Amino acid sequence: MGRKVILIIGICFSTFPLLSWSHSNAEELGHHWEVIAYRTEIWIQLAIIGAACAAYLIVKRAAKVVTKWLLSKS
Amino acid sequence: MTLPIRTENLSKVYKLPGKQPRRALNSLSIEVPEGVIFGFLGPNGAGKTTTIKILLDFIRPTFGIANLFGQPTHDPSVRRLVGYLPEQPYFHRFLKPAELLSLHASLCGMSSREVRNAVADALEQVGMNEYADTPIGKLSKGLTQRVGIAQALVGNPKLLILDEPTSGLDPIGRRHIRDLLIKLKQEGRTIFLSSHLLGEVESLCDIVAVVKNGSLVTCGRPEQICSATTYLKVYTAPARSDDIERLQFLNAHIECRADATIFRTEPGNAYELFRALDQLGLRLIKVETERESLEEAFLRLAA
Amino acid sequence: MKSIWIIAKLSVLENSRKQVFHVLCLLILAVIAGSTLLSVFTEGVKIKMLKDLCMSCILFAGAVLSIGLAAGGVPNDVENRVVYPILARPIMRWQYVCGKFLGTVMTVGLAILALSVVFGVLIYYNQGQIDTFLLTAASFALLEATVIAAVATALSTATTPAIAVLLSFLMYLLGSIKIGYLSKLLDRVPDSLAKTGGMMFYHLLPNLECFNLKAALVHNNSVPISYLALVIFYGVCYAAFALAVAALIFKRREV
Repeated sequence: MGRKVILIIGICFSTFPLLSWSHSNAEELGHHWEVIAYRTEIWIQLAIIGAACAAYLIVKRAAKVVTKWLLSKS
Repeated sequence: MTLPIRTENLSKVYKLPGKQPRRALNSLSIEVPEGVIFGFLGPNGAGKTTTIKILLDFIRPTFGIANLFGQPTHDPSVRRLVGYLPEQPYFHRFLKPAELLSLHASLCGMSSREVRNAVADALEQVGMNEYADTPIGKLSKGLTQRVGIAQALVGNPKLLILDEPTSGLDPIGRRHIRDLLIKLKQEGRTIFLSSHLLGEVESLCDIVAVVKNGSLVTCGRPEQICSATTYLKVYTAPARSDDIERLQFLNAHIECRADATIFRTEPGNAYELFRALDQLGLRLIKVETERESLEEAFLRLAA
Repeated sequence: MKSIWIIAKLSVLENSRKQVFHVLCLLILAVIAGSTLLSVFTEGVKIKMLKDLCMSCILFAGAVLSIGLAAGGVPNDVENRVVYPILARPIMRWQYVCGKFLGTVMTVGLAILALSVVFGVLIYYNQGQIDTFLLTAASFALLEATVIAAVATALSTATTPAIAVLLSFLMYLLGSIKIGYLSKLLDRVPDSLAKTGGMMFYHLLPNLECFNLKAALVHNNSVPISYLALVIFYGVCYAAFALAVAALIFKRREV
């Protein structure tokens, strides 16, 4: 087996204890559909994605208008 | 009429973090007319590959314009008219030539029936029919090069950009590709050829451009590029080394062979050369004239 | 769309030849071997532990494969120069990125499907009935892998494959403990610039835990459809956003 595979297997098994730890407390975490914080965070992130897309489109449009204006001036 | 390739003041500066910016192209302006084989020559690092990369939109120019068939190179639709063979072509090694060609034909937007015909045609043209189902990883370098040329041919391109098309090929394969390129030119296609094999370029190309340090040194028909000067070639009986020492003042290129010594000089030096040969008692075998080859012109221009 | 599909198919062929699939075989063997050891427990506990083990493996396989394949996909093609003949064809850069991504997702999907079938049979063998929720939970594991693959693709277009793998694993680990631990950790940080920066990073991290339906599978809980729909919407939006970032970066990149 190549070194890459050994590395991947190593990383894979090293993440087991970490993720077990992440689950260790956690009836609460396991049943995330009952926890409001999860839904709230999802909505916050969807809002951020929406805002980022809108900002990108506005900046792109503005850059187009400014370039057109500068070209007409020159 | 729109030119297949046109560049105007094309410049490319590579900015590397912590290093001085490197100018790879410097105001390069070339025009490639339709239906010709255009040789693009230059020493290593002259900017040939950078130019090809800009033409195919792999990189963007710092300044200047590059157009293919009148369209800016960043317009992907124009690449429908272009076939490209990279230098030392790398393909997915697990694919078979027929699979690779069918993939490229599909990327050109062909229907499945057109794909089948295009693959068969391209394989036929490069003489690869018997290897159609051998994985590319198992093919020799020369055969992989042929697959690369076949790949460039699928999609019926009007312009072929070939980077070292005959590298790795044996003399028979090289001859085969040369004949194919002539045939493609006769079909009205334009071929943009970057090559180090100058003899081949001289015999194939209608127009040759020489670049050096990112700038165009010269561009024209091979016979225009080669100096109009005719050289005198004088063959004598083999000369002794002390005789050759005495002839160094002549400013002639002297080649010693087992059967003869060859003196190559400009015709203006003929009188002095013959007088010196007579004084040394060297027997003349034959005298001929010779024009500068493209290789010599290239060395003169690009050195 | 045709170009994306062609590149995706090529990507699946390429991925299926990678050694990363050995991980999958090892995981299957580990679970089958592990399931024989579970016979020491009582019947109810045994089934729960088996489901837990199977679902953990599906989630891990999904994450490991998506990171391993997506982080190397585009940059390795550039490094190996196989990208040149393809980009010389009339295709857009974003189509290439989407094709590579789709190929990765299809490969991971096939792997998860294979694991689900094997584990479904294993659970049926032990439980005596088919647990259809395994398919739902596996589908959400695929959605999680899709999000991870999209982020790994975006990272790979901006950095080297090694750094992309490292950052993707970090993102995966932090994304898996986001709400339960990171939020609590951030609550303890006093108000400062560091906290603001931390909050921004926190909101950028994908919320991977919401795709994990292991507990519902193990405890036979029902999950509200509205929540599942929201998670699907979130997963698709996040993956599309990460992919758009990847396409934008690759469009400007010199190859």
